[in-house]
Amino acid sequence: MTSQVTLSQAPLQMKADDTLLEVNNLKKYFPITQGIFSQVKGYTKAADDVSFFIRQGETVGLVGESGCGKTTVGRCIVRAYMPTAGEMLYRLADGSVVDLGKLQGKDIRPFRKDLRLIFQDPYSSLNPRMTVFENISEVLKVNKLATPAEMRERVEALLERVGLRSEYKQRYPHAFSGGERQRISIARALVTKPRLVVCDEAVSALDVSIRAQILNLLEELQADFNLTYLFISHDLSVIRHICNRIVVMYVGKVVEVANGLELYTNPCHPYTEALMSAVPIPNPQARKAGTRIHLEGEIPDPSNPPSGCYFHPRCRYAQDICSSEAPPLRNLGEDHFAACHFAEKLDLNGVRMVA
Amino acid sequence: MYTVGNQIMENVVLHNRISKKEARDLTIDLLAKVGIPKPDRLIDEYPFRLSGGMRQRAMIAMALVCNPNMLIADEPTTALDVTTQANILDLMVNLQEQYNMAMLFITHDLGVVAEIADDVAVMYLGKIVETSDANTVFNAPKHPYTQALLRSIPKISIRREELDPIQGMVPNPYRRPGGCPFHPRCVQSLPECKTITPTNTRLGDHHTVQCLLYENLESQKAAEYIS
Repeated sequence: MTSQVTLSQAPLQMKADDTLLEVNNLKKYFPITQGIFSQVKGYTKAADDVSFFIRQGETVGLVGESGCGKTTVGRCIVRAYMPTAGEMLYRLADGSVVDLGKLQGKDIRPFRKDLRLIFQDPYSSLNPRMTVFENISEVLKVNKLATPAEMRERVEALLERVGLRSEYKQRYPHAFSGGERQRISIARALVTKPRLVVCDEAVSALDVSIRAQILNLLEELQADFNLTYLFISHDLSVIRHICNRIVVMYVGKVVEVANGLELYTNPCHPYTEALMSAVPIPNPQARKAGTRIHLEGEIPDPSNPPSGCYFHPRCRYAQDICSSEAPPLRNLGEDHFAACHFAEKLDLNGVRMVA
Repeated sequence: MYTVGNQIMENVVLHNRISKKEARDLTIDLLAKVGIPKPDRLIDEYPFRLSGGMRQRAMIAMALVCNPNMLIADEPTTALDVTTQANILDLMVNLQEQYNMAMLFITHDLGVVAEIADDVAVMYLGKIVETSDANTVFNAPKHPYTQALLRSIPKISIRREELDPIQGMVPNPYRRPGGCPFHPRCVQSLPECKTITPTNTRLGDHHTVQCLLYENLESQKAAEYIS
């Protein structure tokens, strides 16, 4: 079925051979409606011209403040949302390329098992009326991917792999703690043998001591199953720990993309600099009282963003051009991209590294 | 439905003998103090019209109504984004100086603790297991739980290959383990930890810890001293 999809279109090309997913100019607008006839009076631009790529086997982090559109991008990629515009080129195991954004109806089905999502809240994402086994195996049943015997075998093996006893499969989710439920959610995401897993704030709802267990588990599973992660989080220290490359978003736009260490030590966008300076460091000697960058004002409303660069009203380096012209995402070399008119000229401070 | 102003003024009128007009002026003053722009307009807004950061500022204003000597802040920044969190923390430190008040800051975020606290008390399962000044807790922790907690958090400034989590999970408080409540998860636990509940041991002027490892040490020292 997949070959039919690709053959019916002009052959798609990606920029590099090792790319698994390439998102180009992705847009997702939600209409704002009013009145009994639901007249559309405007759009919330949740994702506005988002471009980045994910290489096979790496972990890409997607960070930003709440409401910046990180979750929308993640949900577009797993096609929980239909994007308004843009392409999401996905490389299949056989090397052919498909645009996930163009697929309709039953054509998407084969990709549902390749692209999986782990949700933030382990308390609301599992169906309380289904046993653990039913929760995990539902996707196999619905997509007719395995016989009942295979299903049992796979679920049991996975439960053991994520650190739960396989006898637990007949219990209901209420019998488990938050960390255990997140392990079940991870098993549910991995049961179809996916290639790309979108982790949407997968550890944010967990206690600090449990968070480390789950982060380690995700890293082990990545090595075992050759997974690629898109890791969505607002927690910069978690992102720093787990990600190879990081995408920073602000009000629906990508402002900076770079390797982990590069982004933290040498940010090229003023928003990234402000974000880094706001992170509290767990060491009283590194106390930053007074040296932190204060972002004035509020995050703009994505249905009514400012002109030019969306960050200019809060940016301390803003000049005239910033309010009139939107800076494009430019390549600064060595996998470092930033959307700022003065990316090369500014000397911004990153996080000081401790050996 | 109450406006922001209504909710703050309620406290003002209840605790001070002043007119409504004065209460309103005082509220506007307070809102300005906590950094709310255009307080004379915002006082008549409903809370849902404000952003998370602004709402938290309004809450702080409400707490400051009667010039408190002590402010208990229960996870005041946990629901906020890092950039907003940074602003609120700086605001709280400023207000603390202005009002000369003590602050009990309850949080699970060790980064925030390091940023704001003078002294730290670490709790586990209903007990304070270690107290000291912030520097000691972060740089020379003594209780195995504090040590494990600090090892388990990812740090932005250091790249490590693997995190070192605390094994197991927090027990159900109804089925509290006997002896030291931390012993089932403790890497340094002794056989005695299952039965003996540790008491506070002083390790310095300011430093107390509830752990048998140090109690033994002290009694050993005491024994040596006596002999």
